[in-house]
Parts: sequence; C-alpha cells; structure tokens
Amino acid sequence: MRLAADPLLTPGTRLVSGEVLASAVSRVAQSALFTLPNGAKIYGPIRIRGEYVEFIWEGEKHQCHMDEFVSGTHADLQELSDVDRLELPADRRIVGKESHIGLPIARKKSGGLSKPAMMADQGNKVASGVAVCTEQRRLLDMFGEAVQELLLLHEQQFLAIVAGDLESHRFDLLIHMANERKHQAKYAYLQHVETHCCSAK
Amino acid sequence: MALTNVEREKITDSMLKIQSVRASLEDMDETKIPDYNEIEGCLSIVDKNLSLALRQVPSKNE
Repeated sequence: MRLAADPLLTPGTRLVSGEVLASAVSRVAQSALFTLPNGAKIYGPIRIRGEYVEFIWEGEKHQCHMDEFVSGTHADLQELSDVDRLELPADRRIVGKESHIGLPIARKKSGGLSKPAMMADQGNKVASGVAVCTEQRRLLDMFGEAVQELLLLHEQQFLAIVAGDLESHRFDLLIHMANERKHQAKYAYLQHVETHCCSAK
Repeated sequence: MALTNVEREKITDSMLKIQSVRASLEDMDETKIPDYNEIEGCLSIVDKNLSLALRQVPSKNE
C-alpha cells in the first residue's frame, strides 16, 4: 500500500499528532533539535527532502514518507505491518521495531567504523593478508568518531537554520571544539602510523 | 631537516587557521581593535613563514 500525501499539508507546516517513531542513534548526548507543533520532539540527524524524511536508525540510513515518520497523521504503522504486510516488498515484511522504518538507503551497517575495523569482523585480515594493527585501527576509529561528531553538529546547525532559529550561530563554538578534537585525533593517528611504521593503507 | 607527516599536517592546519583569522578580521573597523595593523602584520608573517616551511622543507619520506 502506498500512502498518499495529504494535499492540504506541506512539509514543515503540517500539524501532526502522535509519537515520533524514529530518533537518531548518536554517540554523544544531545538535546532535541526541534519540536513539532504537537509538542513531539525530534532528535537528529534527520533531513527532510520534500515529502520524505531521511534519518538514522540503528546505524542504518533510512528514508520514509513524512506520514510514516510521525504516527497518527495518516498511517498506523503497526496496523500497516499487521494488515498490509503481504502487500509490502519482501524487505519490508518485518514485524517489530523495523517494520516502521521505511526502506533502507544504505543496506550495510557501518556505524562510523573505519574500513580496517569493519574488516576486523572478517578475520582481522586485510586483502593483502597482513594483520591490521589494533592500535592503528583504534586511533582511526577515534578519528572517524571525531569527524562524525563534527558532521552531526553541522547537521544540527543546518536544521536549526532551516527551522528559522535566530540563535543558530550558537553551534559555532561547539563546531570549533569538535574541530579541535578532530585535529587531535588526526595527529594521534598520524603519529602512531609514523612511529609504529604500520601502513596507513 | 625533513618534516614528518604529523609536522606537515600540523603546519598545514595552523596555516589554514591563520588564513581563516585574517579573512575574519578583514572587514573589521580597525579602530575597534588595539594595534590592529601590528596584528595583521604579524598574522601575515606567520602565514608567509608557514607556507614557506611547507614549500622548502621536504617530507621525511621524500
């Protein structure tokens, strides 16, 4: 069943009721990004593209219709999963918490891990057969997390700007601090690669 | 003496930060910052010397 958008409502201005079904997975504590007219709080990072919402759920990026994102507007997603499951594509016929999260855009979970860290799950070996240095992997992951934190802050600032927040420049100090942490993580990684002589490739 | 990768990275980041500071201060009212011209001159020298270091000093693995 394809949910039709309400022609009377446009993204960003519609009144919604019910609870927000998805909130982002974040490694850092954060406050609500913005509050919907019904009082429901939305946590980032999400992005609204026309009638669709992109968001992170359990490390995967998903996209769904705005009506699916906030229950009580058009679709009861639990009901949808019970009654209309057979009409859904095979990869959406999942009962439980994943039944309401739309089609995944990125199929594989990366979780912000570096390639070596992901390859560690495949027997701790890179393609060349040489074991990856665990400290190098840890430092690269920390660098990745620092970059991710910075991205999150930029996204939050962007959403604040889009929402018309007059204080959206308040993110700049946080971004500066996150940038400093990113630099420190980068130097620690490069320093290790240099002194330990483990390849960065 | 050759620059290590970390040193090269630190110098590059510092140079970019200095350039960012110079750009931010560019349209400021000079009278509102004491010794504005000295500050601008100092930043300019720092910028020049850091980029000189990057150009002249070879990398360790070169």
